[in-house]
Amino acid sequence: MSKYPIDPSTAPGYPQSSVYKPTASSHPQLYHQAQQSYQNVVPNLAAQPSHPAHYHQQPGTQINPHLVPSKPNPHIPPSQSNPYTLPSQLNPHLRSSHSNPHIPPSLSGPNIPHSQTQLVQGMNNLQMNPATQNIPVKSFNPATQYAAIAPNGQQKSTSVEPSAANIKSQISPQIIPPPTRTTPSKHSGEITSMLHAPTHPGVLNSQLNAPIHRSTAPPHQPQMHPTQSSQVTNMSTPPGIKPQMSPSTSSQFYPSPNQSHFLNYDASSQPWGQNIQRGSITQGPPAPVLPATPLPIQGQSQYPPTQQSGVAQFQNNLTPNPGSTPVLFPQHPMQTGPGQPRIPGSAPVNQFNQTHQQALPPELEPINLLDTRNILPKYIPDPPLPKVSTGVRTKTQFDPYMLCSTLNSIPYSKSLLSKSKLPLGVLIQPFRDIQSDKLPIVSTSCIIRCTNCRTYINPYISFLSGRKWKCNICHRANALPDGFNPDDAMKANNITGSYSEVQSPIVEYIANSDYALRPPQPPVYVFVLDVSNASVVSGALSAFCKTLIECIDEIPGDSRTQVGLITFNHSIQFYGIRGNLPAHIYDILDLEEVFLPTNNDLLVYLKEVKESFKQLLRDLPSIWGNSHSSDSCVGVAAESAYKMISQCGGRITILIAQRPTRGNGAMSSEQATSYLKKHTSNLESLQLSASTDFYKKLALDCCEKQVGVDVFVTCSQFTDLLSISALSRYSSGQVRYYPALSQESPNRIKAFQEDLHRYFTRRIGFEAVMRIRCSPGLALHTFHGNCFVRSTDLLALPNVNPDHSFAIQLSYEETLDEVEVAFVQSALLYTSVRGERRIRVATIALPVTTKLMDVYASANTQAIAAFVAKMAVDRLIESSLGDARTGLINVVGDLIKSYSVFCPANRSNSLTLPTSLRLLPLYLLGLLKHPLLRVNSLIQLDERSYQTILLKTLPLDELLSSIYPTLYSLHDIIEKSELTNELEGDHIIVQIMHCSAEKTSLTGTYLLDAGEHLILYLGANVSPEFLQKVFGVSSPRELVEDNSTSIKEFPVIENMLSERIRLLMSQIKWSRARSPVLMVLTDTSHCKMEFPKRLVEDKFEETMSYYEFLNFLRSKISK
Amino acid sequence: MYHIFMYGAALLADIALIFLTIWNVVSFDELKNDFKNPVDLCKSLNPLVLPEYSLQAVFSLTFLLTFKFVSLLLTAPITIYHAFRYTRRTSRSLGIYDPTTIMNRRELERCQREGWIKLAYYIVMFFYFAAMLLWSLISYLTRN
Repeated sequence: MSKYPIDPSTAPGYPQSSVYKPTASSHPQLYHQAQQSYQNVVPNLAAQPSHPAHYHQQPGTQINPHLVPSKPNPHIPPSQSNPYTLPSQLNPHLRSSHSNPHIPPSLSGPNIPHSQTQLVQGMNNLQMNPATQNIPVKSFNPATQYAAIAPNGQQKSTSVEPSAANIKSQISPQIIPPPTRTTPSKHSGEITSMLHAPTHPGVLNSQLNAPIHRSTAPPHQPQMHPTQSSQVTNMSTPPGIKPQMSPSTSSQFYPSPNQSHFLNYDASSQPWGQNIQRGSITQGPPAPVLPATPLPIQGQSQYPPTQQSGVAQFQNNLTPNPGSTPVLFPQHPMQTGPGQPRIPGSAPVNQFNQTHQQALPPELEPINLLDTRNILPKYIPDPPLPKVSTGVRTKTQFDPYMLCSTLNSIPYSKSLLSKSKLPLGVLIQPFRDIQSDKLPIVSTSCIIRCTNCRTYINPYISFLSGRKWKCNICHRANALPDGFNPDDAMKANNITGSYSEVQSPIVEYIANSDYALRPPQPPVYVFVLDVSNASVVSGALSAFCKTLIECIDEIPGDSRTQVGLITFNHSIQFYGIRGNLPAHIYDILDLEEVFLPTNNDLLVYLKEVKESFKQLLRDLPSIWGNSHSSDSCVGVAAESAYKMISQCGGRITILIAQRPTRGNGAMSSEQATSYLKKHTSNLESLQLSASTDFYKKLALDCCEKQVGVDVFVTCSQFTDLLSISALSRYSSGQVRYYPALSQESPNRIKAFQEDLHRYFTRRIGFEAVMRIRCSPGLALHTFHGNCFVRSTDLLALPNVNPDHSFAIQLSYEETLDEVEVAFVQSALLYTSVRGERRIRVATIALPVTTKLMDVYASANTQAIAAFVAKMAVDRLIESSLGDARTGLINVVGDLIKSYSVFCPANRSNSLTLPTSLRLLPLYLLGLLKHPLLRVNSLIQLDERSYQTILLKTLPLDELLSSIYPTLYSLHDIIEKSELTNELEGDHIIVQIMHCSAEKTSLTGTYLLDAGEHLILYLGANVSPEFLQKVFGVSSPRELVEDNSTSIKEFPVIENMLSERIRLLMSQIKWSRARSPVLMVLTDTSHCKMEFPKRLVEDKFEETMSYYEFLNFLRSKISK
Repeated sequence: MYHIFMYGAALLADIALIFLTIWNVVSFDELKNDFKNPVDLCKSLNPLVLPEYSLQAVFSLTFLLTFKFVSLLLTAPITIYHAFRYTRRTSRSLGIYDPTTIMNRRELERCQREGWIKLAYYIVMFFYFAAMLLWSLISYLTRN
C-alpha cells in the first residue's frame, strides 16, 4: 500500500554528520537514567499510589445518557484498564445501537469517574494544580536544573502577582547575546540539547502570540498555583533587572545560592541593544528569546511512574528538593558559545553537563496515549512559534496564523526529515486581518532589498561595518541607501515608527511605480446571478440581492469603483445602467459565440449609478419571479463576464443555483447520471475528477487578465461542483456551497446572508502576486490553495482577501549544513482598493537541527494536521479514497513507530508520542471521520467535492475546527472563561472540552463549534434558571418548535451569563471565513443526533471511537 | 532494398525526435529557471506531443509489419510508455502538460527526467539505426 511522502524504512540512530554532537538528552538510555536518578533524588515520591486521587470514582452516575454513543470494544481483554470505557449503566434509549450488552463489568474499572460532577471536580482539581502538570516537567526539565539565582547570589523577592501584564513587561527587555556560529566545540553539543529547554507556561505564550480573534490562554490564570507563577515570573525576569518575588514563594521554591553552578544565564545579561557585536549565526544583535510554549494540559492525568512522582510531589506539598528547582531562564543553546561575553561569576558552560544529560524538554515528555485521558490543552491552542528568534530586533508579536511552519526546527537533511515521518511545509495566510499596531506600514522611496536574491530587508539581517547589511538568506553584503542609519535602526524601539522594517517580522510597504506593470487598476466588481426557477424558488436570488443592497455602501472601493451585472438562465441578460434611468435589459439567446451587446453602460461607475443599481437589484427577484426557465448557462455567462472586465481585471461573483445545462461547460442529464454512477459505484476506489476542462481553461485566462472568480452554489441537486470550482481554484477565488438553502430554513438563509455580508465588505487586494523566498537548500515543492503557480516561487493571485490561505510543501535541494537558521519570507504585492501598490512581507526564522528529538519537540501539531489533510485531498484526487484513508493512518502509524525507536515504550501496552505531537492522532481521527474521507454512500458527491475545496483553502484555525470540533460548556461558562480587553473591545476565551459525550451531562448546555455548524445542545435536565437567564424561557420546548433547529434571534438578556455566551458566539462568527449555521438542539429535536454525530472521540455508526482508533493503531504497528 | 529505405527513414525520424526532445528539455529548464510562463510553455509543447508519439509509433509498427523483432523490441517499450502516458493524461483538452500542475516540483522533475532519458534513448537508437542502415547497405551492395 502506498504511503505518504514518507519512506517507510526507519533506521534507528542519529544522523552522524552533524554540526552539533548528538547529546545525551535525547538518548533513550539516558532518558531512563534520568528517570532513575530523579527517583533517587526523591525516593519517597516513587512510592505513591498509581492514580491521582481525583480519578477514583464513586457510584451513582449521571453522564448524559442520550449522548452515549460508543460501544466499548469487546475485544479488549478486561485486564486492560480502559480509561475510555463508559460506565455501563448509561445506556438509555439513545445509546448507539452498537452497544454491547456483554461488556464485562471490570471494563468500567476504578479509573472511571462515575459521577459527572465528580469528574468535573476532579478535572478542576487537576487544573488547579499546576503541579500536576508541571512536576513532570520539573523532573526532567533541563532548565529546572539550572537554578534560578542571580549571579551574585542575591535572592529575588517580591510581591508580584502572576499577572500577565507583569510578565509581559518583564519579557521585553530581555536579551541574549547573539548566537554563535560553531565550530563544534567541546561544549556545543551539550549546549545544543537545551535547544528546547522549557520556558514553560502558556501564559507567556498567550501574551506573545495573541492573535486577533483567538487566544491560547488567558492573560490571567486565576487558578495559577504559586509554583507556576514563580516559574513564570522567573523565567521572564532578565537577570539584569532585579526580579521581585514574595519571600514566601521564593524561599520555598528557590535553591540556595550554593547551587549556583547550575546556572548559566550569562548570555542574557547584556542590556538590550548594547551588543552590536556580531554573533555568529546571524551575526545579529542580541535577541530577546520568545519563550517556548508547552501548552498547559487540561487536567492531565497520567499513570506512568514518571508522572506519578509529579503528582505525588504535589500531594506532598511541593517539598523543595535540590533536584527540581524552578526555571530561571533557560539558556538557548545557539546563543552560547566560545567568545561570548559572560557575566563574571556566572557558571562556566561545562558545569552543567551532568544535569544536561538528563534533560528532556516538556515537549518531548513521552505520553502514553492509551493511558492518558485528557490531552487537550485548556484553551484553543495557537500554533507554537519557532523558538529561535535570532533576529532579534523583533518587538512585535508575530501572528503564527499568518506564516507558520509545520516544524519549528528544520531537519538539516532530507534523510532526517524522512526519518521523522513528518511533513515539512509552511502555511501562509498572507492577507490576514492584523491589528494595526502589529502591522507597521512603511512608506519609503527606496525599499531595501538584497541585490542578489531580492529578499526584503527584515529583522533577521545583520548590519556590517561600512554601511552594509548582510542578507540573511543568501548572505550577500549589500550597501545601505543614504538616509538609513544602522545605529538608529538598532535603537529604534517603536515598531510603528521609523525603521520598522528591521523591527517587525511583518511589515507592509507602500511601493512606488517600479512595482507596477500598469497603472493600478480600479476596483471592478461584476455580479453574475442565476435567475432560473431554482434560484428564485430557493430564495437565493432575493437573499443575494438584499444583502448586496445592504452592503453596497461598504463595498471596498473609492470613486473609481465600477460594477456590472449579468444574469443568466437559458439565455444571458446584460443590464445597461444609465444615470437615474431604469436599466436596459439585453437578452442574448445565442450561446455559441460570446459577445457583449454594447460597450457602454455595462460596466458603470458605482457612485454615479448607485441608486439605479440598487433599484435594479430590488427589482430583480420580481422581474424573474415568474420565470420558469429551468436551464442554466453558467459557462457562457462566466465567459461574458470575463470578456466584460478582461481589459481592467477585477472580481466576478457568480451565484449558481443549478447544474449548467446549456452552452460551454454544460453537463447533460445523461452525462450527469453516468458521472454520478462512476463516482458512487465503489466508494473505496472513488477518485474525484472533473468532468470538463472548460472551467479550468477559463480560469487560466481569467488569471492572466487579473480577474478573480468567486462562486456561490446554492443547490441541493447535483451541480458538478468539482468542475465548476476550477474557476475559482486557478483564479484565486473562493467557493461556497449551500446545499439545503431554502426559504423554509431561515437559519441557512441567514448564514448565507452573513457569509455574503462578510464577502462583500471584507478587504480585497487586486492584481496580486506572492513570492516565497527561502534559504538556499530548501525548495518549494507542492502548492495547496486557490492560486495559479506562475513560476517556481511565484503565485499569481488576481484577487486576494483575508481568508486566503495557502500551504506550501518544502523539499530539499541540498542538505542544510551551511546554515544554522533557515528563513522563509513571503512577499505579497497587491493593489489596494485605493490604487496603491503595497507589499506585505512576513519573515520567519527556523533553526536547523541535526537531531530528531529537536524536530519532534518543535513540531507544530495543528499545522501538521492541516498539512496532512491537504495531502489526503491530493491523494483522493490522484489516487482513491481508500488510498487517502490508508495514507492518513500510515502517517500517524509511522510517526509512532519512528518515535518508539528513539524513546522505547516502557510497557508493551502503550502507544507513545511526545507531548508536542500528542494531539495528532485525535486530529487524524477527526479527519478520518470528516465527510470528505468517510466511506459512506449517504454523503453527496458535491458535498465531498466541497470538502476537498475547503480543506485546501480554509485558514488554519477554521480548518482545525472542522476536523476536530471545539466543545464548550455554557452552563458554567462564567467559571470557565475569561474576558480580556483588546483594541476592538471585549474578547473572551473559554476553556475547551474533549469532544466526547462522556464529558457532557444531562443538566448542561453545550456549544459545539464544528466549522460550518454551531450547535447549541440543551441537555434533557437543563435548569430552568439557566434557560431563563439565557433565553428568557422556562422550558426548552418554548425555545424551539418541534422539528425545527433554529431560533430567530439569540435573545439579548442583560446578565453576565447571557452576555458571555453571546460574546463567545459572535466571536466565533466573526473570526470565520464562513458564517456557521446555528442549530439549537434539545432533547426532543428530531435531528438531535447531529450533536453526537460530531463528537469525534465517540463511536458513531460505523466509525471508530478514539480509544478503538488507538488500539487499532497499536495493533497495526505491532504487526 | 526496402531495408535501406526503412532504416534511412527511421534514422531521419530519429534525428527529428532528438531535436524535439532537446527542445523539450530546454523548455523545462527555462521554466524551472523562471524564464518562461507555464501557460506559454504548455501551449508550445502540447501540440508537439502527438507528432512525436505518432512518429515513434510508426517505426514500431513498421518493424512489426516487417518482422524486425530486434528493432521492435528496442522501440516497443517507449511506444507503450507513450500510449500509457497519453491515456493517463490529467486534462483531456489541455494536453499532456497541464499548466496548473506542471509547477509542482514532482511533476516538473518527472518531465525533466523523462526528457533526459528519452534524449539518451533516441541517441542510442540513432547509432543503432545508423548501424542497421550501414549493414543493410553493405549487404545490399555485396549481394549485387
